[in-house]
Amino acid sequence: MQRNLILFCLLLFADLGIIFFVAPEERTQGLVQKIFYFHVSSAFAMYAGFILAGVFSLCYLIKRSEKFDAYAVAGARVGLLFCTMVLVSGPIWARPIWGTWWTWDPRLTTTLLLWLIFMATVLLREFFGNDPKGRLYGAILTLFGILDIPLVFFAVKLWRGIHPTVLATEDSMPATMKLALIGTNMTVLYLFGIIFKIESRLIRINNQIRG
Amino acid sequence: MDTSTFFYAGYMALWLIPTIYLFKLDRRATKMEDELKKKNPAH
Repeated sequence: MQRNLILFCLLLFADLGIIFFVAPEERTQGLVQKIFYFHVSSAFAMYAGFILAGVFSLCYLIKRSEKFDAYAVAGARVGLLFCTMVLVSGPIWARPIWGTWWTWDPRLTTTLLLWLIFMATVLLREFFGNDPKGRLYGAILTLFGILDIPLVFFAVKLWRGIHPTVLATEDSMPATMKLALIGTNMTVLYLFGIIFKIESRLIRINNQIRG
Repeated sequence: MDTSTFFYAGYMALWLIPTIYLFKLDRRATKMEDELKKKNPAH
């Protein structure tokens, strides 16, 4: 684990170096646009976490295996962490650009809804502990929650809010900006992987201790 | 300090949230593993 943490710190510093010193400042938004790299990468990790939670919840409902349940809970927790990061970094970026911290734009609203559903899932699991009923309800709520993911993803196209479609065209950004985005994606996904691994390990140890 | 210095500091602080979460989680997992070993030395 120590090696993973060291590698993550190295990746993070290299990525921050690219963001701050290699990627250019955007012409109209200036410095604040650099939040984009963190915001978008966190959104990818959020989708990954919730989709994993959905897949493993479905596997749990079919096989009723504790292992699948542990992975589903770990996915929901990691997804929730990165969803929180999206909801924290978004308003910081929005304030100077849109002039407001929050607006009930379709993408923002559906993302908040996603956060609320998965927060409910995580709390429900905490409340029920090792009770099989909690596992069942948690899996059903997770499957209900992932129905919101396509709504979040296609909200901009479906309802035309003010949230931009950031990756609309291939030439929408210069190569150094793409490099910064890819670097941040890799760093965030690596962090995602480590947290997912520890979370699932923690849940399985907890199950063993509680018996 | 100018605005950009504050921005860079804030940007790094943003990264601190998941990083601190990771370190705390790792510490908790290690603690629980020790607890499990104490309960069941053969594990």
